Amino acid sequence: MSCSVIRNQLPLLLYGDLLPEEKPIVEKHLAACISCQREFEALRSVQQKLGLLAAPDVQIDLPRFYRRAAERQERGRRRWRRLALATASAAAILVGCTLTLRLEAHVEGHQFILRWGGPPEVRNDAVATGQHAQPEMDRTAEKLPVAAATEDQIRLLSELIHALADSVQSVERREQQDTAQLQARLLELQQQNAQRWSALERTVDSLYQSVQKGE
Amino acid sequence: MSSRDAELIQRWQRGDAAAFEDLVRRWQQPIARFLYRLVDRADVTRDLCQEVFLRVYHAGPRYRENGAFAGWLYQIALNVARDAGRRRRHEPVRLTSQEVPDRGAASEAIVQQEETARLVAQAIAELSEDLRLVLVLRHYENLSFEEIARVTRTPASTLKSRFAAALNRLRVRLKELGLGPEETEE
Repeated sequence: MSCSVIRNQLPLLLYGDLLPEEKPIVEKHLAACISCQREFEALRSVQQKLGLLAAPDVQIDLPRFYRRAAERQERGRRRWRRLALATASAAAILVGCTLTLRLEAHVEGHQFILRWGGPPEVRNDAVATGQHAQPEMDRTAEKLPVAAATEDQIRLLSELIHALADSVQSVERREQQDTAQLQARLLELQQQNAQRWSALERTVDSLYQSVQKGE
Repeated sequence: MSSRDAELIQRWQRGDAAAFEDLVRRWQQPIARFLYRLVDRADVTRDLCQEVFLRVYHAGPRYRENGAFAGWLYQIALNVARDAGRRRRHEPVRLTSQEVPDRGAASEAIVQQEETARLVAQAIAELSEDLRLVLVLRHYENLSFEEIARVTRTPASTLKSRFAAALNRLRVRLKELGLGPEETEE
């Protein structure tokens, strides 16, 4: 293997990441090649220098953490409420349009048909071709399935709105429970801190008194 | 993932808040170190670290234990660091990567070591994000390439090449900065 190939493997050898079948090949080359040995030593020196960097000591302030978690949960709940309200409003508008315009939408023969108002009038040319206009009672009977379909759609929309409202309520209940848990934990931590603080004060007092007695 | 982590996660998911706090205590320092190496700013590391654990806290109930908690945690930390990086683009660029230390009472050896550390930090900060990320996770966090592959969603073979490239670039850059092996082997 050439030096250029081996040199790409040297960082992996340094960190023990070579595959078992690769390691003896690289080591054999390294034992015989002065230039690669220098390269390896330079990499080892880099590795040592990387160890000089210190990182800041971080302790998470748990009471502050729980306060922020509760705030974030509250924000999420408000966002969810707004979304639910917008969806419910859109559904209500849709129901209103369906009721007032007798809106009808369906797919028929590769066409999307959006129709409002009553069913289309029977055209006069049908009479001209020799077909007889249907009697008034038959036309009323035809309208009945359309009205039933509209009622179905309204019922479906109403069920959807109720389901959405239930979902909002259950999410809110869950979020409220989570927030209550967070607040309880926060209170518990504050009480623990207060107890620790008073214990510390007592210890300091007793130490002070013993020092005074010693004097 | 250690069995201790697995046990703590299970307890936390059952509603034990103290288990979550133990997880925070176990991981806050490694995550802070990781974030600091990526963003190179001590002043924001604490807030970013808190943000990581806030995301963990809210995503916790959805976490499914598969022995990759550390990878999952580092992935969240990486996202937080990237979000911070995007926000920082609008801030003025600092000239040095670390604060200049107060050298009043320090001995010459300490001053020399601090200067070396500052130059090393500068050389790391100059690496591209891809190279810096794999260097930090492998060298400082001691993750295997398979674990890093899960965090970064990058093949392990690519990561190995990046790691070799990162170390070689550091070697060249440190030599340019007067920190080659011959300069320090006196």
